Amino acid sequence: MDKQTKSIRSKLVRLILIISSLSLLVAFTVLFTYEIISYRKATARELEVLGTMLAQNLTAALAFDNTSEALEILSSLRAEKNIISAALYKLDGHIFEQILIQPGHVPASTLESKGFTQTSQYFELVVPVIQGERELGFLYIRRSTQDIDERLMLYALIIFGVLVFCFLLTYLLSSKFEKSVTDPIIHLATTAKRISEKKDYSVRAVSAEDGELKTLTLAFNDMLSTIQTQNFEIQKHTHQLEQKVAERTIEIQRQKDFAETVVNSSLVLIAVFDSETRFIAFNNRCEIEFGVKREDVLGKRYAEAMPSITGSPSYKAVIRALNGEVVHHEKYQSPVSGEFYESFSVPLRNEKNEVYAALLTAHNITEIVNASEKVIRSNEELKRKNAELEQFAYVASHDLQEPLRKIQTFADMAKKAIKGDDALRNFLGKIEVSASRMSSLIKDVLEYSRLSKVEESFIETDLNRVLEYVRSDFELLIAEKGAVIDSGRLPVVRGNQLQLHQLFANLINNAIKFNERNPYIRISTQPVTAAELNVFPVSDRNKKYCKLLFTDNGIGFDPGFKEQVFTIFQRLNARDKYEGTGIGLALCKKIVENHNGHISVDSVPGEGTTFTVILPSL
Amino acid sequence: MQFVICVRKAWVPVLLTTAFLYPQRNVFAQAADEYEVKAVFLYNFVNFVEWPSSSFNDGSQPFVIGVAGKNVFGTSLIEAVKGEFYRGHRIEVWMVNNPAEASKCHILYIEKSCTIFQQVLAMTKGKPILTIADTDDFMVQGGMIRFFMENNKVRIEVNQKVVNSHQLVISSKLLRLARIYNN
Repeated sequence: MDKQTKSIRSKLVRLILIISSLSLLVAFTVLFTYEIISYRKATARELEVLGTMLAQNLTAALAFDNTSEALEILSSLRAEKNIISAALYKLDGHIFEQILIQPGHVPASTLESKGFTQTSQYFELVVPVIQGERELGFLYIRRSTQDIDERLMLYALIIFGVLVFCFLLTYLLSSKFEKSVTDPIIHLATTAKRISEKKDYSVRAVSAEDGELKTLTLAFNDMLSTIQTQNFEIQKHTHQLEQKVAERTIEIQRQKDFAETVVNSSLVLIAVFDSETRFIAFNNRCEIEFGVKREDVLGKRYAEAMPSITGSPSYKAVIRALNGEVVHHEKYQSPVSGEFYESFSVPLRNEKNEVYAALLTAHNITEIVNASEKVIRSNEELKRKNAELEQFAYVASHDLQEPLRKIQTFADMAKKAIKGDDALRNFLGKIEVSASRMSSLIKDVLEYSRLSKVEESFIETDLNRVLEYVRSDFELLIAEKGAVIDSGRLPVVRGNQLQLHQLFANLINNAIKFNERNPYIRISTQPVTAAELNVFPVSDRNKKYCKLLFTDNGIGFDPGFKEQVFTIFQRLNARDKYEGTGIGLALCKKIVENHNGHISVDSVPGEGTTFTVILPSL
Repeated sequence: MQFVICVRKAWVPVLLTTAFLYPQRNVFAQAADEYEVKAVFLYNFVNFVEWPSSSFNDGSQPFVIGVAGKNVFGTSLIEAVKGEFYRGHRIEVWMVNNPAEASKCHILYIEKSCTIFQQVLAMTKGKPILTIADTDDFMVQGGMIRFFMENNKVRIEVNQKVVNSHQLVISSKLLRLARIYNN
C-alpha cells in the first residue's frame, strides 16, 4: 500500500482516537473533579457529624472535670483510622484533654478558627461542646486527607486504566471500522492511479457498499465513461484534424510552390521587403536583372545589399510603401543596373491592417523607352518630310498646271489650225487628252494633299443634302448610264461638308463607273454592332456611331484585294477600259479617317460591291 | 448589678471576663478550692438533670438551688448561677434555714454541719428535689448525689433509684462518669 492510502488510514484512526480519547478525558476529568469535590464534602460532613456527636458525649466529662472520661471518649476516635489527633478545650481556650493518634500535634490554646478548615494534608474541625443551651468548651479534631488522596489516586489509576483500555478498544474497533470506509476510497484511488498511469479509461471501480461511497464510485465510473467517450471523440477529432492539417500542409506547400514558381518565372521583377527593409523575397528576374544571387540578398537590408540604391526613387518608394502608400513610378533609371523600369511599390498588410512588408514589382522598359524615343524621332522626321512633301505637292501641282494649260491651249489651237491632216489632228487630240488627264491628276493629288489641312470647321451636315448635291453633280452621267440611286433616310453627322461631298461623289462615281449594266446603287443605314466596334480600331465607347452601306451591282473585284483598293494609285482595272486616277478610294479612306470613322469594302466579282462607312453620329 | 452592667459595657470586657472567670475555671485543673469546684458542679447539675414541669407553678417561678447549713461556697455559687436559666426559669441561690424552705428548692445541697440535716432531707421525700451532700452515709440516709474526693479530685456518686423515684431524670452522660450507688 502506498503512502497516501496509509496516511488516509492512519489519519482516520488517529482522528477517531483523538476524539474518543479527548471525550473520555473530558468526561473523566469532570467525573474526577466532581468526585473530589463530593468526596471532600462528604468527608467534611462525616467529620462534622462525628465531631458533633463526640462533643455531645463530652459535655459531662467537661462539666464535671473528668479527664479520664474525656480521654476515654476521645479514644473512641481511634476506631476512625483517618483521625490524626483530637483535643478538648475548656471555654477559656485551654486544653482540657488531648489525644494524638498519629504523629502530629494539637493547637496549644484558644482556637482562632471555629468550624471546618482544610489544608492540603488534613481537615480540621472545631465544634463547641454544648449541654442544653450552655457552651462548655470546644472539641478539636484533625483528620488526615490521606485516604482521600489514596482514593483519588485509585480513581486516577482506574481512569487511566479505562482510558488505556478504551484507547486500545477504540484503536481496534476503528482499525476494523476504517477498512469499511477507506477500502472503497483506496480502491477508488488505486483505480484512479491505474487509469492515470495506463491511460486506460475502460477500467471501472467496483462499488461494494451503499451510501455516499457508492454514490462516489458510481459518479467516478460515470465520469470515466464520459472521459472515455470524450477521449474517443477527441481522438477521432484529432485524427481528422491531423488529416486536415496534412492535407492543408500539402495544399499550402503546393500554393507556396505555386506562388514561388509564379514569382520566380515572372518576367516582372518581384522583391519583398520586411518592415526593416530586409529582403524576404527576390525572384529569378531580379537575379538576372541585377546579376545578384538570391542567397546573397535575402535577410539583408536593401541599402546594405545594394549600396548605390540609397536615395533612389526605388528605395524611397519602398520606404513609402512600408508607411502604407502605394507608389507608382512610370519610369525611372535604376542606379544598380542602369536600366529603365516601371514599378509599383505596394504595402502588404496583415489581418490587423498593419503594414508588415512592402512589395516591389517592376518591369524593364529600357527597350520600350529606346523604341519610343526612336519613334518620336522618326515621327518628327516624318512630319517634317510630310510637310515638305505637301508643300512640294502643292507647289508642284500648282506650278505644273501652268505648262499643262499651255500644252492644252496650243494643242487645241494647232488642231484648229490644221486643215485636212487627220493624222496630225489625231495626234494633237491625244496630246490634248493626255494633258487634260494630267491636269485632273494633278488636281486630285492637290486635293489629297490638302485634306489633312481641313480638320477644323466640322459642322452639322445632313447627309441627305450631301447626296442631293452629288446627284445633281452627276446628273448627266446618271442619265447617260441609266443609273438608279436608291436611298433611305440618311442621318445628320458632324463633319466637313466638302469632304463628305467628296466621299459620296467618289463612292457613287465608282459605282457608276465600274459597271457594265444599268447601275443600281443603294445607300442604306444600319445600327453599329458591338463586334464591329471592337474590330474598329479608333472607336470611342462614349460616342455614338452610324453605319452607311453603299451597295452596287457593278463588276466587283477579288476580295483578296479589299485592303489594297484603298492604297493611292492602286488600280485593279485597265485604264483604257475604266478611266480614273487611282486616287479616289485613298481619298475616301483619308476622309473617313479624318472624321474618326472607318471604311471597309466587300465584293463579289461580277455581282457587286458594298462599301461600309462608319461615322460618329451626333 | 450596676457594676457588672458597667463592666460588660466597657471596651475591655475580655480582660474583665477573664478576671472573673479565671479563678472559677481554674479550679478544674488545680482543684485549688474544693468548694469552688462543687459550686460549679451544683450549677452544672442543672444541665444534666431533668425536672418535671410540675415542679414549677408558673413561668416566673425561679429555679432554686438551696444551701442548707453553713455557706461553704462563699460567693462562688452565686457567681456561677448569675444570669443563668433553667428552661426559662431564672436560677437563684437560697440559703435554707428551715425544712419548709427546703421543699421549695429544686436542688438542695445539705452542708455536713447542718443542724437540721435530717429534717431537711425528710422534707424532700417524694418531691422532685435533687438532694446533694458530702457526707459518707448520705446514700444510706436516702440522699441522691454525694460528692467525694478521689485522687484529689471531686467525684460524684449517684443513687439512681432514689433519683428516679423522685420524678427526676439524670443524663446518662452524667451517669457515665458517676459512681452508681447500689445499697
